[in-house]
Amino acid sequence: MMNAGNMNAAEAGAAVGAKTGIIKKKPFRISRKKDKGGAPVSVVSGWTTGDTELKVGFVLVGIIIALGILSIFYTPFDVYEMNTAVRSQPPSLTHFFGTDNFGRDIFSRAMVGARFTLLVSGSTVIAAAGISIVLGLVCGYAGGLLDEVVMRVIDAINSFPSILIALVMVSVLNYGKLTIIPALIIMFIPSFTRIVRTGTLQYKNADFVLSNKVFGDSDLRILFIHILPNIYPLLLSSIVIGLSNAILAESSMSYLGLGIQPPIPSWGRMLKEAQDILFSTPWAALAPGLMIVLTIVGLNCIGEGIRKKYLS
Amino acid sequence: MQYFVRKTGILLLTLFVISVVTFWLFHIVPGDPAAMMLGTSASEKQLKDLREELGLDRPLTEQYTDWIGGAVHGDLGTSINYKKPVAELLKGKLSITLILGAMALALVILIGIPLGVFTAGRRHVYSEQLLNILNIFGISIPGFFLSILLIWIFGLLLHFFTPGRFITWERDPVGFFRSMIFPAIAIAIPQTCILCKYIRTAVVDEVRADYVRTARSKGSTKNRILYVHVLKNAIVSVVPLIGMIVSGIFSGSIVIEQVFGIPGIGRLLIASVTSRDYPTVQTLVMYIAILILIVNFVVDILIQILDPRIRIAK
Amino acid sequence: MKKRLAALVMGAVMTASLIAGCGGSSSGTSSAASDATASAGTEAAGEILEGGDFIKGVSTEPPGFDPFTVQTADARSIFFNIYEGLMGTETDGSFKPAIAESYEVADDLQTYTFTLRDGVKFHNGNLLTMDDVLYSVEKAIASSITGYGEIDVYYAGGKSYTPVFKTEKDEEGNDKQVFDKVDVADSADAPADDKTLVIHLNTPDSGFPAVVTHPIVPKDAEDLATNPIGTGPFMMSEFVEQDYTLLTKFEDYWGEPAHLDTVTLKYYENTAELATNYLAGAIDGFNSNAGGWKELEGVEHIENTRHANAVQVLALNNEFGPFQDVRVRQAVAYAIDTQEVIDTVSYGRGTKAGTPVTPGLEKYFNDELTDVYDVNIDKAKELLKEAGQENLSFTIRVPSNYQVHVDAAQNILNQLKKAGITVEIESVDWPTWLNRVYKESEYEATIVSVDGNIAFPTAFLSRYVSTADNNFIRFKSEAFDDVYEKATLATDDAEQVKLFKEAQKVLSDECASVYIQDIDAIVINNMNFDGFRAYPLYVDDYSAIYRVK
Repeated sequence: MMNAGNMNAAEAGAAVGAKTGIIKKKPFRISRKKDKGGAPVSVVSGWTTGDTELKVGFVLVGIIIALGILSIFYTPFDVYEMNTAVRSQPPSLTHFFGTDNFGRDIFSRAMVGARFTLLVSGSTVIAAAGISIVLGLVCGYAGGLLDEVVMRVIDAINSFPSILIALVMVSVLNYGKLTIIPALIIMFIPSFTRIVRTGTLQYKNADFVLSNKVFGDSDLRILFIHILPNIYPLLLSSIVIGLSNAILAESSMSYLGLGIQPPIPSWGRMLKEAQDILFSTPWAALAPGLMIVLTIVGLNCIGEGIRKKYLS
Repeated sequence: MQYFVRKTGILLLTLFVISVVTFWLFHIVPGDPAAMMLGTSASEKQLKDLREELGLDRPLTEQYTDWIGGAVHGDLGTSINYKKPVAELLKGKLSITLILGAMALALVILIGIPLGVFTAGRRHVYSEQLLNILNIFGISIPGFFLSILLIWIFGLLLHFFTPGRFITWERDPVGFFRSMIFPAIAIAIPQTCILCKYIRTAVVDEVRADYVRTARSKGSTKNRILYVHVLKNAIVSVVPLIGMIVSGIFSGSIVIEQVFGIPGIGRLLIASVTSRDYPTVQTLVMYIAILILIVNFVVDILIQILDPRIRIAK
Repeated sequence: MKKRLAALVMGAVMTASLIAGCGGSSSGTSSAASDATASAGTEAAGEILEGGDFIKGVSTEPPGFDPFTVQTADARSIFFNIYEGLMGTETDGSFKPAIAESYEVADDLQTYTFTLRDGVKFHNGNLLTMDDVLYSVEKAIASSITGYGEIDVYYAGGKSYTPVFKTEKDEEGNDKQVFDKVDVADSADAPADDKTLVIHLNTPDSGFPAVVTHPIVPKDAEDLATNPIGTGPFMMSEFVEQDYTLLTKFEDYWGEPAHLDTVTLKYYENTAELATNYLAGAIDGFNSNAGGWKELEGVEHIENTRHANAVQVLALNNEFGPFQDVRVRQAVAYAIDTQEVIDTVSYGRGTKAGTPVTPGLEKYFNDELTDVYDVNIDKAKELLKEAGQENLSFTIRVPSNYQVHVDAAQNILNQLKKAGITVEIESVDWPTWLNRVYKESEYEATIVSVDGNIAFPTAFLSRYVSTADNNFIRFKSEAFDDVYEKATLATDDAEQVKLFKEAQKVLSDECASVYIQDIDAIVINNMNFDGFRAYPLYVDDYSAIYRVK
């Protein structure tokens, strides 16, 4: 929800994956199947086999990450200092993306925003993925009551608009600079868990798993050594897309004033402030808006690339 | 049948979990509706009286059973903010959001499906590449940023619509649709892109199917195959997405109503969350959750009917 | 009794919401608030046309329309147009008879006699009677409305009415005085007619006319929260949540009728949207938030400026470790250039305060205190050193819905850095702010605007009394309590003014908090509507607005 579209993209991955799995019963072994089928396959994947997407994605995301890291050491202007002498300057060679109504350089602020947004989103998704892997593997493998209970709770969480989950969590956890992180973690657990669980279900009765079982491998070993690696590609592409959702969610929350707190600039908050001055200073929305879009485009490309390369 | 019963059971169970979770969460949240109503000049006594009047001083379990008991009888409690029954409060808002959602859904389907089929039929063509790129941007742009752009370009610069003006259906039906169309577009764009993408994938999948080759060999035209046979099957295969799209439209409208100032469920929800209007929030969350659950439920059943393969697979 | 007085008086201030709504800021060589029709365009305005529909953009919905429970600043601004009290407030801050036709006050300032006006009608068509007034007074006492706790007994129609309080335990087990009932008895002292109301106070109070500006409502009013009925120039005819409130001209208004047929208050999510929506043509006017007016440069419009009648304050929690030391509080004050805050955050359109009383309340505002803490970084550092707090750091917890305060916090953060003071900013939503900061005083510092609900200094000062419930700054000073009490009891006007100024001086000496500015409220109308009246209150008077050619 935060942005609908995206939440869905992750889930769509899961849905389609699940569907394919069920209908075609095609095991997702890591196989770099080239399109030896010729035309039809390349049609499936659009106009590429995934390499282009990966390249574009890594370049875009790489630039943003580089800007974020650079901002630790250097920004063209001070990010916090208000300077009334240069209020609302349009983009120029001095200020690439102009200044805001308090005379702060928008590009510098967006750089710092990149750092914090990526930090928040990254840690969120990694934590959520960690929890989900354990939860999903256990539920899928063990089944039974535990599975039923966890899946019901996950269904329930899924029925909430995620913005509401985030709002509630932020309030429940008390304000604080980083409350947004646990709020977002909870948001992402359901979709990741479901992907892992579906994958686990698929493989737990696969021949190679059963045979290992016969050879006396422990459950733990089976889960992490035999099953998990098979889920990686799907999980990885979901994580990448999850990351883009996290960025969207974080910026939406910041837009609503509940994300990263001032004075730290964040993209969402910068956009909200830009909306105040849309008529006189429209460029204020440019840098943060572009950065959000490009980051998410980049991440979506990477996710798509992984899917095409390893999953089709 | 057994499948149906099981699904229904799960549905009810999930609803129960949702109601409990919503209720409890909203009672841990710090924030006192009585203080909100009175503002900063309230005295302790005023606060206490008001809390008593609102029933906020009773034990939580009691407040919950009261609420859920009432809900079963169609009495959804009284909004703390507006001092009127939540059901009444929702009446006007729900229709606005549903119409907005329906408009968005119509746009998604009317544009997404043809566009998906169209692009599937043309490979390695510039138009497809262009659409591909647009598609990725469409999926990637945050709803609120898209809305800000729409407001700036079409509202402030081109004057296609008046941002901030909302006209009720009763007052002027044409004006009503005019004030809804751009928000609907903002909600629809990301969903359209998603649908378009999956339709394309599904169509291409179908094209490879045997029956297409058969039809082709029997002399059907390419377009006829594409739009009649293939599309029918492709649509069936994207049915599972409907639930996701509806839920996406709903969540999208929460933020977008906010940006455009549409007085629907979304704005009410955010306002109620910030003002700790528990009864309203609980009811809204239940409504939205129920809606999404039911859509998913219907979709599940639909899939069963449309695609026997899945039943076998189960 | 004193204690109760203090407690009840306190109710007065409210505010923050206020700021919210309009907050804002403005510019201009701090145009004196009171000169109402100030700036651009006004002169050009043409003749007055009767009728018309005015759409005003606002950002805060009233939480209901019941004046006995709702006291947010923005709601009071609407109530000002719907309801009237026995007395009304004039633009210069004095009081004029409203529902009362006249009043007399005895020399001891303890007995007030009001004579009701004939022919005053409620919006429901009924004539206002003494019963309605008695009902409203009792309700105000029961609701602990500011100042009504001073009422000892009141008389009307041959009967005496005595409010009775009972003692109850509060949550902590302390005794609390709680309203019980009003004892009615026949009384020879009471006027026999049904037009005269005599109110006797338990303490002299020259400010009582301000107290009885509180609304009079019909005794049979069912549900004021959703269906307000008053006697004002406008009646509330429709309220659609999250959308608008429709005010319609009350044709049977006893006084000078409004010019407009209707006023629509259109609600938006935040103040930021107002300028944009104005430019788009969705609304005819709005109260500018910080900088919102700047968007309008080059676009023709009518602009009026008044004080917000709320003082933006960097409130320092006097119970927070370092701030227990007056030198630390002073150091913070010396380190902040309030003029810079005004120039940066309010684009220069604010008035330096230096005391919690708004400069708009000219009579009582102590202007000698404005520059006491002129910026002096060295002095600040010195004081910190003396207090052993060279590495002072604290958190400003600021309400996120008021962009003005969030901006000010950032500016103050920059400024304090120069004095070696480290500040963190934490923005919280409004309910959390009300609960944590305002009610529980769980904060180190915060920024908010505090307004007064009546045009009298008690509204701004009562919260600094040690025992006041709403003393969220946790300020404790016997000197202040003393002079404040003397001021409220003073019978001589000049003496009272002097004492109130002295009370402000104590707050300044003790540096209770850092009083930044009264942010100009800039009222914007498009060229089709003119008319404006400024009050020393946080209100918009829609009966003054008219259509022009």
